[in-house]
Amino acid sequence: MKHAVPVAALCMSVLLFVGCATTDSTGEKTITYKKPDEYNFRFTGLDTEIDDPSKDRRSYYKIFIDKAEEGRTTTGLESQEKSCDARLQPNRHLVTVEKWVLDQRSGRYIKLNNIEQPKPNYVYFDLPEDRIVVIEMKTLRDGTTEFVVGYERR
Amino acid sequence: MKIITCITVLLLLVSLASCSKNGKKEKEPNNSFATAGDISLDARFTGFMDTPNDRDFYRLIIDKPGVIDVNCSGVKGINLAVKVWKGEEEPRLLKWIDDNRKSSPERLGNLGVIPGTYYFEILQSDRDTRKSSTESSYELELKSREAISEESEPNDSKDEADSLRQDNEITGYFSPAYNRMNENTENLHREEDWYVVDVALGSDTPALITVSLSGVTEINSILSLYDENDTLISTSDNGGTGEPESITGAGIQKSGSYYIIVASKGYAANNDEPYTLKVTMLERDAGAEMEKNDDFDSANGIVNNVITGKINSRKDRDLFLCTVTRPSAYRIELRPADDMDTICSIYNINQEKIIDINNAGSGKKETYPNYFSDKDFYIEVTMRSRDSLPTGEYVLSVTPLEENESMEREPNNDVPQANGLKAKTISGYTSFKGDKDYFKLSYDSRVKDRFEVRGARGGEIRVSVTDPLGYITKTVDVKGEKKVIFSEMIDKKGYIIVESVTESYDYPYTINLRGGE
Repeated sequence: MKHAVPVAALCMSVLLFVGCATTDSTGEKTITYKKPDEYNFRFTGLDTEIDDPSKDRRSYYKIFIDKAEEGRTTTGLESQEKSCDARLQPNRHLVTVEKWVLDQRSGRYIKLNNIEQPKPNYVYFDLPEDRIVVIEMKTLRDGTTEFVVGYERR
Repeated sequence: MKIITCITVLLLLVSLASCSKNGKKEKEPNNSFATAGDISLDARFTGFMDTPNDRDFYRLIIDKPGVIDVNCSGVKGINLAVKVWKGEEEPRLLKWIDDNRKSSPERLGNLGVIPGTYYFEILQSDRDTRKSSTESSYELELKSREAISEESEPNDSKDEADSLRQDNEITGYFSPAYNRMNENTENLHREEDWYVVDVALGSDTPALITVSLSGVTEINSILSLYDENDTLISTSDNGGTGEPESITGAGIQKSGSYYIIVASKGYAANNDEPYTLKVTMLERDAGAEMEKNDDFDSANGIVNNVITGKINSRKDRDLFLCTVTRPSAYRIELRPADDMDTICSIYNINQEKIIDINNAGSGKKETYPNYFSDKDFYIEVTMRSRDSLPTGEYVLSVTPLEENESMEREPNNDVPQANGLKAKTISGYTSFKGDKDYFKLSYDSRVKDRFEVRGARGGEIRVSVTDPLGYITKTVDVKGEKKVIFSEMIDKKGYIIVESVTESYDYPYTINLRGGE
């Protein structure tokens, strides 16, 4: 868990230099990013190593920004991408994630036990002006989580 | 001197012997109408069953109307029966008294007589072995009295029914126990007293008839009311032994003759204590129920939104038809008598039960705060069968509510029945125990909505928001009139579920939504 910040930073730097480039009329590569409009923060999350449908539960993530509840993602199977958008002030922020899964018997979503929550369940990120920050969270079979932070491109 | 003394003693002995018999002796042969011995009222006549098949006939000439108490004493080891005949030329059997077994007396408390000839036939019953008895005599006594508003036996059938006037009382006896001439298989040999009431309705307004029968010691009675087509209008069999019976407010739709039958259960008789029967008529108040309204075809209409009624027996069910002029929600309230625990059921026009309203206890009102209907519907009022019969009346009110597009529309108890939203405010009631109200949310895009919930006074609700599939993502509890505000994401589609924790049938809850703005 203590390696989450370096991992995210690493991923972000990778994103900044890879795959965002286009070639202009002079032949030089330029990167174009989507401007914020209704949102400037997007979170997506999924479990990547689920291969048994019986273990693929319906779920969502409750999202906390700077320790205040911001909302929740869409609902979907654990293996599906679930997302949530928000409009935040440009600044450095902390996003914390809480995973909820459907209890079929009661027909309601219940919060997973702490031991089953994504590890780590948070990441710090900087939100600059004129950028939409995208945080992708991928959870492995053992609960280990990988955050990838980038900017949304056009 | 000795001779005089002997004669005196002999005369005294003869006199004593005569007195011991306490009446006049029969004169055989008297085995037929033609040879019947004349008897008179208020005298005792003795006779013997000379042979097992002996029949003793007595003739009584009546010159004025009255009532006779017929009493034939028992003879040890012999089961006697008494037949009463009327007519000189071709006597007709009026009564056949054969209640008791051997050694016991037979009695008919109130034989009604008019001028003419009557025959009393003493014979042995076929229910015991017939024997002769030349040593023990029976004693037949006919006590007369003037008839003052009293039943007149035989009144055992519709044709023989005694006339009964409205608001007048009549007395009668549960006597004898059996009517061996009653061949009706449903009530074989049951002794019945029939009365007829002639009803002339002055207008088209129906009338309500109330029939009251007093209680008689050791008698468990049953009281029935029929129209002239032998259709049962109402019956009362609520009281136990020694208790009264009453048919209250039975509806009379047309003029004609109506028949009352008084009978005892279990062939019980009481020759000494009379019952009192009374009939009263009232013009029907449109605000009062009219029996018989026990089925959908005879359901009473409700005028001016209110009707009163009474449960007349544990099995009584009162049905009311609510006429719907425009689609509307109705507040249904049933206020029972203090000693009454009612069940109020709603049926649709196809006579299919929608719901039973049975939330409150004895003496407490039952309420369905907002039953929506666009067609006529029925309300049934019954009582819990294990309870004792209530004494008072109930009041049923069915009030249309003001049209309000934010008001929930029952039934909305699950996802398929969810109400769509027509306004940004939802209003609803906890309509019954465990009620769940579903409301469907639908937006063009994913939104974070704000919910401002105000609970119902005196109640508690649980408000949940769901994902598009109806699975709950967020829940809040709201007690009383407290206001609770929360936000939740709606993935274009979702549901609000309001569950009743503690019901409040009188006050609504409201939910204001920002509506995705």
